[in-house]
Amino acid sequence: MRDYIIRRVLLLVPNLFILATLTFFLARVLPGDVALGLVAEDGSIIDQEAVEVIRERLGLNDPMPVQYARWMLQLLQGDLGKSDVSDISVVQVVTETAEVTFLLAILSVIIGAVMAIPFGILSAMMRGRWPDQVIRTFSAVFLALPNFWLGILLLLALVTWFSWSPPIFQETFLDAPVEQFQRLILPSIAIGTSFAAVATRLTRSTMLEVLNQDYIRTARAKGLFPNRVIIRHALPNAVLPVITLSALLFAGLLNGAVVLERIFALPGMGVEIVTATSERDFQLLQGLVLVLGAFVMVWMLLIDLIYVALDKRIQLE
Amino acid sequence: MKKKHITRIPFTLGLIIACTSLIAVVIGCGEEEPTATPVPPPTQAPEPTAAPAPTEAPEPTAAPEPAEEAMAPSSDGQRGGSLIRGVSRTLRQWDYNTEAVWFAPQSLQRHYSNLVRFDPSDGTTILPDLATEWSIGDGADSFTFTIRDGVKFHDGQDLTLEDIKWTFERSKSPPEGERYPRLLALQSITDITIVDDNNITIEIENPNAEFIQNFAAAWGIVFAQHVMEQEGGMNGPDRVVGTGPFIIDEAEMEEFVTSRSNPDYFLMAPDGDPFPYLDEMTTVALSDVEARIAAIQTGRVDISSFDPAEFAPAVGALNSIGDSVRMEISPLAGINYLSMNANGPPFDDLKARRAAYLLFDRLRMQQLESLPTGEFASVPTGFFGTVDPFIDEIPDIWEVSKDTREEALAEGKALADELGITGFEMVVNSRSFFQELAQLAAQVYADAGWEVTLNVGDSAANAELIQSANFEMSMSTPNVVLPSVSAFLLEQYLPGGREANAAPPPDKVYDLLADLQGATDPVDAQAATREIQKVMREEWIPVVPMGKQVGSSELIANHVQDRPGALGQWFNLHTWMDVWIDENSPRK
Repeated sequence: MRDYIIRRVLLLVPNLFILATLTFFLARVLPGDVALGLVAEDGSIIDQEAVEVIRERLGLNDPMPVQYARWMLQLLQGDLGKSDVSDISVVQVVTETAEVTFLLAILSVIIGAVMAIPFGILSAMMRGRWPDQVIRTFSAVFLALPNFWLGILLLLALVTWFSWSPPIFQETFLDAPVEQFQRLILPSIAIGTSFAAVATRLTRSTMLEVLNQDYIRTARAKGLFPNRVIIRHALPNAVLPVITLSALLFAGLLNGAVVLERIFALPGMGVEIVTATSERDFQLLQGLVLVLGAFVMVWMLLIDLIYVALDKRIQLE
Repeated sequence: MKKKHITRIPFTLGLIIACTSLIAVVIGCGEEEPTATPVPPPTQAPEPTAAPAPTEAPEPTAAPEPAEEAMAPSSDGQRGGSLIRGVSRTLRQWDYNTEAVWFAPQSLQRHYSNLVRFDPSDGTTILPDLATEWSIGDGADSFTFTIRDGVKFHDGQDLTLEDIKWTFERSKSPPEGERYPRLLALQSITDITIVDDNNITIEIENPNAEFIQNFAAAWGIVFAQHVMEQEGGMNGPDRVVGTGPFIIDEAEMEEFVTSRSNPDYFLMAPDGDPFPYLDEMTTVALSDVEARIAAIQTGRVDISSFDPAEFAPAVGALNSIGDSVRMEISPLAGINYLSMNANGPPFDDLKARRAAYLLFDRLRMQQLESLPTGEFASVPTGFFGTVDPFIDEIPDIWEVSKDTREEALAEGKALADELGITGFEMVVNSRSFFQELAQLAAQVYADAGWEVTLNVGDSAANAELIQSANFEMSMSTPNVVLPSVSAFLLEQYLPGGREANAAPPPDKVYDLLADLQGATDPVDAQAATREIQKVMREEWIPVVPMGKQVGSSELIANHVQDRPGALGQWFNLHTWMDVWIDENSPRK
């Protein structure tokens, strides 16, 4: 296991190098640059000379290989760079936005899992009966609903019926846990519900598969209580695909639930990445993508380790 | 055993229900009940706002009234409390002179003062600010300002004439690597002289009596030299030090700016104490329109501001929210037009430009842009948008008037047939508002027999096409106040202006511009303006004017009070000093 972990950690280096290179060149496929983004307004370029001044200051007039070499050299020195627009360091942007993104992702996964696992089990155990039909219908409905639309509906419903909307000022979880929770709960429910729709169906199908296994039949034959059979024997095996799904969702959410972040004015990484892209803030974009790439790679490694802990049959090689 | 089995599942369900209830409780906890707002008189659906009054050339020597008299509100404001305003975006840079967009002044201008400022009630009359008096030199090429005594920066240091000199020298000659896109006009300053302890003279390159308006504009603020020259420059909120009515308190870039009142502010309110009335003022970014509507509906903010593009949802929200809020429309200065690339075919030909100009029916465009209620959401404009002193006459000019429209259309079609033009490609910003506007423009041309293909891209992508002159036509919608016809010409259409691909003007335009800039009699200025417009329509045609949205809108809680116009002038007034909240505010 130790060798495996070391090997995976070492693999991060070439992976991040490839990611950094791809991000650098793909960003520059986009037409325009930050100088045009800063000085253009609704169809006209306000100050032609300013475009050149900004390009010169940011080194955008240098040949692409020179810019690439500068970016790589900067990375080797452990410097992720600064936003071309605001002059704020990428590290500071990550620090300021990571909490929202992580909390949103965690809360969404928790809400989704809390809904999916019991409903999935219930659906499997009541197969063909009305609770199963109801759960499957609802999961189909929530699967079809775009989560941002659900988010808007939740917001409008609370505003209309309870005259309540989430707090508008961003505070850290440690400073104001209740307010932060209030800000995050609606988008988390919106994301979590969509996730739950998929995960419920997955839990149901894997549960049905597991319940037909010989070892379950054996457990029942031994006279174990049905609850014990399900919780001790069936659930740990049935829940593995859900964990995989949760892990993938979490990794996806690290990149930000852009639309929901925007609707609920959450300053998360998703909004930052989209803004950096539209403003052609290459330094910020490259830095954020690299940091997120590293997060996701480490997260995937952790998931592999969790698999081993949950299922002793899995061997890491 | 069976009983246990049955009870276990409801327990799971019960757990879920309990969790859901807990979430609901947490949502509710820590919140005060939204304060009931007294029902005010019903708010009417907004009327299309008239364009700003025509700008008259200022008298050569102004005799300004004292600030206090000029600012007398209709009633005394109430002091205290805090006000929160939700906007679509806030600042991206602490030194907002370095960026062109108007989001930053919305959040930062209240911390600064100008030499002079616009009267909020009309947006054009010049009032005293740091300068108590001013005079314009005989040749209309110099301005002398008398600066009031005892003005202090927020850090306690005295404002000096050196600060003013430093500010405008910086605008004239930005440090290496910096540019101030909205202060280009100030680059024509030739000399700044401190005359004595209170007077400073600013000279400009060419006679232009209207130049004084640059000192009143949102970007023409005065900085503290000792702060700006600190290491790192304007690198954070602690460097936002001005002499304005509010002192910056706490701020996060692109999120919010909170300011507290400046007890040493130099302009006095009618009650004998300094402005502002508010103790605290916050601007917070809520990028989504639904979030801004929800925030005002639930009392999270006192004012929600909406871009021109969000006018229709704002009107819809007003109708659904009811009587606790009202809507105010800030006259929206600027112009929407179609830029023609004269660096290549077909619009390098005056005939093609004239065909495009004549085929575009501005009244039809206005009709297409009208609200579902039937009200007009835009006004037709000429080449100078809302600063045009003759904007009210636009619906009656030959090529626009219903009576003569057929003749103009026939001439346009004949020109198009002669050149064999059947349509063109139009570069359009990808934001939905612009796409919708472009589709309407395309429809107007389709009615006239031209086919328009839309080439949609984001701002930076379009800017690249425009910079490389790789387009036929593009839609441009500058909202920014260009203070006068001459400024419009210089900054927008003439070579060196924003329309870098516009056709060069006939030489006579420069002569007429000189006449306009040198005119000290408003009658002469109007005559020159009329002549310029005639030449532009017949011999130049740099763009195809479309119109302009009547205004940006704000939903304002009824406990927010202001003197007429103070909340308006979306672009020109963000000092908020004469806005107050009454006792019904939850934040008082």
